[in-house]
Amino acid sequence: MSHTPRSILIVEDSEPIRTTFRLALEWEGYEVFTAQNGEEALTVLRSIPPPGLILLDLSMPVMDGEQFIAQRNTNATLAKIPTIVLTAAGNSQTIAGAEKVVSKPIELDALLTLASNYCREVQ
Amino acid sequence: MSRALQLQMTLRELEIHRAELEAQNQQLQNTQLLLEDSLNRYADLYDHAPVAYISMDKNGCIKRLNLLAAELLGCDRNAVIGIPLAPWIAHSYIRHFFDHLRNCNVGGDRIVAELSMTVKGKGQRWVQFTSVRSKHELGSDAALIRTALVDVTERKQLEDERQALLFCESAARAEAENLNQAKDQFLAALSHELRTPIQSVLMWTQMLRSRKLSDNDVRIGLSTIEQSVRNQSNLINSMLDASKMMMGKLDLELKSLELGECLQTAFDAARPEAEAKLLRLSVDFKGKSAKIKGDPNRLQQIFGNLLSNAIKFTNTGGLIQISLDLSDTDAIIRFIDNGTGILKEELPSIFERFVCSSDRGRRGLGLGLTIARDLVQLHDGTISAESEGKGKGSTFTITLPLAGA
Repeated sequence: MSHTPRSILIVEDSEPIRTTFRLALEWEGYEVFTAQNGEEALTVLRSIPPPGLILLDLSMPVMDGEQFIAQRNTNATLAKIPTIVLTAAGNSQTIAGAEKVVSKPIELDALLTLASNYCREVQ
Repeated sequence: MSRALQLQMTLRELEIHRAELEAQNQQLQNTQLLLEDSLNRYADLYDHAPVAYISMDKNGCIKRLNLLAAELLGCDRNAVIGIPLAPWIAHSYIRHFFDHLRNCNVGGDRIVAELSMTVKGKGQRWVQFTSVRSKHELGSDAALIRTALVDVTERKQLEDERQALLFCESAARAEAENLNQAKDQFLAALSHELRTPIQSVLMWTQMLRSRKLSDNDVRIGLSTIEQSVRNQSNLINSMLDASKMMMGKLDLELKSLELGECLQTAFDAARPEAEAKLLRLSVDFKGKSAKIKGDPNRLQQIFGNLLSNAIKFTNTGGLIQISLDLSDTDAIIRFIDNGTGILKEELPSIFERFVCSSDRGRRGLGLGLTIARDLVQLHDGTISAESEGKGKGSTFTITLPLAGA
């Protein structure tokens, strides 16, 4: 029996969004980690077991989402973590290294569906 | 054979020789006539050719020239024989002229150069020199340089005009592309700034409706919604302000006020955001009793914009210093941070509308500093920015005239 961890890393510079996502996911029983930018996310990833999903903002100071993906991909273990980009920039695009790109605002149900799709327990 | 017979035979031979010589002489005369005719035609052609011809020695002294060349130089043909051509060449092209002569002296094919020279009655003209070196001319041992001169000024002017037009066209195109890019960037930034607060509002309303939340979570939710809506509203106000100022329609409500109080209000409003980021704040309001004539709300907006920029561009744990000093005539307010600083090449344009930091994650709409500058100017003040570069922090200085100064 293998488990996909029920843990999620949120990488987001906007404090209200970070807290909102965190609380919404914690209520569903996920273990949630947060980081304010790509650099902080790399630090967090070094100190925790690989999470089941990364929710990644694109536009962030210090290290943005695309720079984070490039850095993360240099590590084989981290490169395997499914990553979903959530962007408020508006133009739908594809980003290499991301499972999908979702435009903000995302509905509560859609967020929870995404989380359960990637973090479900596998028998 | 008798002597008489011999003599007779010799005479006949002499007679035949004489006839032959006469025939040859006649032929020579004919040839000479042909040659003279040819020379005359050549001279005629040379003198009246529609192209100016000059023959020079290897040093550029005029040896021969046709009528058009004389007209070009504005001199009598005989008066310029033996004179150097150099004085007719524009000063800055003298070197090119001598290079041309040197190239001709080395030999080879036609040598072409375009030189600026003074032409009689026409001033400075562009003249094309097409030169060949002849082995030697009649009556001269030394080789000569034969040059055809053609006035190409009009062609040059057309070329210059074409170049100028091309330059204008490419500048206009670059400007249009820049504007287009700025527009795209602005729309992306606008979308980002408008959608970010909506995300929290949308998700919290859905959570408040669908879940039994603890009192504490409800409190967090409501205050997040309130804060997000305020941010959205501030953003819309900024855009309206910028648009009003662009049309010169923003009016100040001026009153006499204490600047220190105004600065303190803006500072108190920004404090929670700075504290959330664990920034150290240092305040030194030496001139807090300064009286100025101003619009208190607008002054708070100026200070608020500069404070929120300082907070935005200073990393966690950084330091922001705010000071208020007085000179004889002005109040001087400084906002000094040890944050990410400003790139040298970005410094001159940071007050321009829609100009944002190249740091993607710290972009806004590029209106905050523009609004601050416009409002300061409406108060007859000045605003300036200094930074030693990326990572070296920034200093913004505002001066406002003191009341009664």
